[in-house]
Amino acid sequence: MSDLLIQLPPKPDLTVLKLAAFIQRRYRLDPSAVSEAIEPLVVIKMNDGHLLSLSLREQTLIIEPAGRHSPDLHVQLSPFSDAPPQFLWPWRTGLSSRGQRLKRCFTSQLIPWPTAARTFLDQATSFNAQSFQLTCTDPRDGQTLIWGYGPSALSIEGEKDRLALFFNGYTQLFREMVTGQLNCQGSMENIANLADEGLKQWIAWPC
Amino acid sequence: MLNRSINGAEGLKAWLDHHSVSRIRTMATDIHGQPIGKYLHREKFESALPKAHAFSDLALGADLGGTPHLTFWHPFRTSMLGDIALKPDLSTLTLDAHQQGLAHVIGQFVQMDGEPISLCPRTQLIQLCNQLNARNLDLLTSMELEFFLFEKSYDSIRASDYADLMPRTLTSLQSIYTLRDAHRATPFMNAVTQTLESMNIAWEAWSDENGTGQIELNLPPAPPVQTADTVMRVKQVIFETAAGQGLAASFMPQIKAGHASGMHIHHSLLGSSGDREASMTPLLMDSNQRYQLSRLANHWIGGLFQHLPASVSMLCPSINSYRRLRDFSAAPLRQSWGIDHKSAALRVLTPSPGAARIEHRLGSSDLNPYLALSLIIASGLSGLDANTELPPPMSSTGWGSEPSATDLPNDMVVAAERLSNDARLRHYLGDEEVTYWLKSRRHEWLSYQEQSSNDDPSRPTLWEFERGFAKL
Repeated sequence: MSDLLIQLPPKPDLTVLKLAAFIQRRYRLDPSAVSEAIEPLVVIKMNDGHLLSLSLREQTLIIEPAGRHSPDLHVQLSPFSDAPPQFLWPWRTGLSSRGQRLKRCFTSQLIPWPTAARTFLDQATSFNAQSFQLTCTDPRDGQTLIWGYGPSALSIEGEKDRLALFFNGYTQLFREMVTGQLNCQGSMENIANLADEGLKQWIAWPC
Repeated sequence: MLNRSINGAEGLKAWLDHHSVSRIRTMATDIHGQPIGKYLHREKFESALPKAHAFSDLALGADLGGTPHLTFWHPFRTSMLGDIALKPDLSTLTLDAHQQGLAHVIGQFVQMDGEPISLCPRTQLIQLCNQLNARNLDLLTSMELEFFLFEKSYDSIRASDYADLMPRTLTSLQSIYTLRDAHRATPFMNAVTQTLESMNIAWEAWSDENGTGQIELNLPPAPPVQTADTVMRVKQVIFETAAGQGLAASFMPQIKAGHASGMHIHHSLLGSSGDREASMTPLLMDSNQRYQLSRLANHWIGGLFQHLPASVSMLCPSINSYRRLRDFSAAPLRQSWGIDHKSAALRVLTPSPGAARIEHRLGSSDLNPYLALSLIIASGLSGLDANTELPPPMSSTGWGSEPSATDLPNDMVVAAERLSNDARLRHYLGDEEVTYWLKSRRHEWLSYQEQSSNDDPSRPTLWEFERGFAKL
C-alpha cells in the first residue's frame, strides 16, 4: 500500500501537519479505516477553533478550510508536545455507525515499540536493510530488535515508552537525544537518516 | 569583472606580485545565500591551489542560526562530519578597494579531492549554464538589488531588539525616485559605487525606491555566473560600507510595514556559435510572431510560466520573504505573464531584438542569486524540451481579485509542496539537491515555529531579524 498524497490548506500550521501525519500513519496501518471514516467528508475542529474539512480523492487526502459545517469531531493537538492527539466526539456522532467509523480511524494508538519500529523501518526511504543494521534495545527489560543486515551499524537505546513514542511518530529523535531520553550511537549519516524518517512520521512535510 | 590576466601559476604569481598582494579573502555562497570564506596568507593560497583551503562540511550544511543540518543528509557529507574545500575561480580575483595588499576571490565548494559538490549553489549554476551552452544558447542576466538603509549601526539596532529602525530618508512617506530622499543616501551610495568601481564591478544606476529608506541599485547584464558573483560582492560591499559609516543596510525583504524588497531578475536569451562571445545573437524577439516572441521564446517563457508555482520556494526562501507577497505591494501573486505588465510574475519587454528581455519579478531580496538563476535556466530548458506553449498573457491587474487556481503559494509549506510535486523541475535542478532544499525549508520552518512568538503578524519576529537583517 503506497502512502496518501496530501494536499494541504493555505498557510498550514504545525497542528495541521501533525494531524496529516497522524492520518498518513493510520492509512499505512489500516487504509480502510481511513477511507471509510473520511468518506465523503470529515470536518474537524482544531485546538484554536478553526475548522478543517478532510476528503479523499483517489489516493489524495485533501485538507481544506471548512466553511460553516458542524464539526464531526474535535482534536486537541499541541504543536511540540509528545502527547498523542486527543480526539473528542459530540455525543450524537459518537453513538452512530458513522461515529464508530470515525473512532476506528481517529484513535491515538500507541503500538508497542517493536511492532511500531518494524513498520517504521520497513517503510523508510532514507535507508534500507542492505545498507545498515539497527539494533534497538530497552535496557530495562533487555528487549532487543535487530533490523537490517548492512555493514553500517546504528544502535538506539531507551525505555519502552520513549521508544514507542518515537516509532509511533509522536516525538523527534534529536529532541529525545538532547534530553537524554534516547541514546543513539552510529555515524552522523545514519543518525541523520533515522532522524529524517522520524520527522516524516512526525509531520506531513511535503517532500 | 572577469580577471583575464591570470593564466596558470606563473600568471597568478605575476598578478599577485604586481599588485603587492599579501592576503586573499575567499568567498563561496551557501544554500541560504550567505557568504562564507576565510582570509588566507598569500603563501598558503598559492601552495594549496587548485584548492584554496578546507573547512568543515557544516559550511554547506547548517542553518543561518549556525545549527547543523543533522536531521537530513546529502551524500556530499562524510559520515563522521569531515572537511570539504573551497576551490577558487581565479578569473574572479580582484583587489580590495580600501585595504592595501588584500585581494578577493570567489569559488565553489568541492570535496577534498577536488570533486565538485552538486549541492554547491555556484556549481549548480555552472552545470546548468553548461547544459544551456551545449545547445548553443546563452543568457545575459542582471539583477535589481533592493535594500533598506537605516540611520543606526548594526550593533545599536541589534541592541534594541530591532526596534530602533529609523530609515535614512527625509520623511516617512513611501515616495519613489525622489531626489530629496536620495540625497540623504548619497554619501553612502557614493562610497558604495566608488568601491565597486575600484573593484572593477560595473553598475548602472541607483535611486530612491518605494519603501521608506529603500534603495535600488541596478547592475549591467552579464553571463549568469558572473551576475551571481557580482550580486554577492555588491551585497558585501553594501554591508561593509554601512558598517563603516555607522549605518545599517539590510536585504531582509519585509522589515517594517509598507513596501518590501524584491530582487527582480532580467534575462535575455542568446544564440551562440563558434566563438561564443563574438557571435551572440538575440533570440527572444520575432516581429512576425504572436506577441512578437520567437518560437524559441514562446517555449522558454512557457517553461518559466509552467514552473512558477514550484519556483516560489527558492525565490522566496525565508519565512520573512512571504510577508512581501501581498496585494498591491508590487510583488506578483498569480501564475502570470504579460507584455510590460508589472503586476505579472513574468514581465516581457520587446522594445527591440537587442533589448528584448524577461523580467522575473517573483524573487525576494534575500534570495540566493546562484539558485535563482539556476531555477530560471532549469525552467526555460524544461520549456524548450517539452515545447511548452505560452498561454495568453494576463490582461487584468494581478492584484485585488478573488482567490483562484492561479494564485501562487504564499507560505513556505505550500511553496515546498509545489516544488516537491514538480517532477520536471526537480529533474533539471537535480532531484537530490531539490530534496535537500525542501528538507532545509522544513528545518527552517520548524525552527521558526518553535522559537518565534509572533504577537504582531505584521512585524517580523526577533528570530527573523537575527537571521535576516545583517547576515544575508
